[in-house]
Amino acid sequence: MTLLPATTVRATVEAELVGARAWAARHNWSLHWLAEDLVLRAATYHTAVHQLVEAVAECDSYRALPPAWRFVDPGTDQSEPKWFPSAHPAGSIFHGNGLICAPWNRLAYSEHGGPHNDWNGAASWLQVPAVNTVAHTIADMLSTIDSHLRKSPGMMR
Amino acid sequence: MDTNALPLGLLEPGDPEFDDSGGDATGDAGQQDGDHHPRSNVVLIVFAPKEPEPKRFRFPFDEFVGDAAKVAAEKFEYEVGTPSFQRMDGTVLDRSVTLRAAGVHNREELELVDAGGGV
Repeated sequence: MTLLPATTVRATVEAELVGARAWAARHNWSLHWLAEDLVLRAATYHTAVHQLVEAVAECDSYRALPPAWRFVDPGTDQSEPKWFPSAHPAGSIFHGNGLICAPWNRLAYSEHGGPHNDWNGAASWLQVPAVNTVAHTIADMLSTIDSHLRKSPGMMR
Repeated sequence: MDTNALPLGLLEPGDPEFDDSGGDATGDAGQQDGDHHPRSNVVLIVFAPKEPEPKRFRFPFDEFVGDAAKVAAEKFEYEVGTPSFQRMDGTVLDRSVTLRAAGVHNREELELVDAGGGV
């Protein structure tokens, strides 16, 4: 279900991309915004295993809903465990089920197939209590993914 | 100028360390100001992921990383979270130690990050 017009989403994301692109340049990420599809593709290297990784954010209905983030086979839309970073033992947003588990990922909510039915639904993503990861802009989501990727020991198998 | 007499927090225009135009050499790895007074504070150039331009802050060297990051986060209008600083090599500073113990140096560029864990 689309909650916001594409033109609204496009304007919102593109305003945020100014900061996100500056962040990406500082941290060696490549961003590719597919404006017609409302999809952001973000790629970098997983330094622990010297491998290209790519995260894709489907941004339809953003910011009424958070983006749907997933890791893919770079350059494709295929999502398999081998393309998903493994978790650091001390805690990570990268879950063993191949999901970025964070209030800012639509796919973490039970109504979108995820495990969380305790966050009052994806439409309430900005009100989830800040007990763990918090990111309210696309740049901050990328920053959090980057921080956890730097601690990831490798890829899932 | 004795930088120890300057106000703390977000630097504003007119402050001699607001930008690099004052030529106030950091010298001695940044632990002295231009007049060779030992520094009791440090100027940090802080980026936030959502903003293209950094802001400069002056903090006591003995300020805790977590407290300094909270001050910076508020100026970037982050209202919630567990802020810390990340070095440009990706290292996230321990929020529970002082800036001195974390080894930051004058005019070091740092990135604000949310240090909250996974869920």
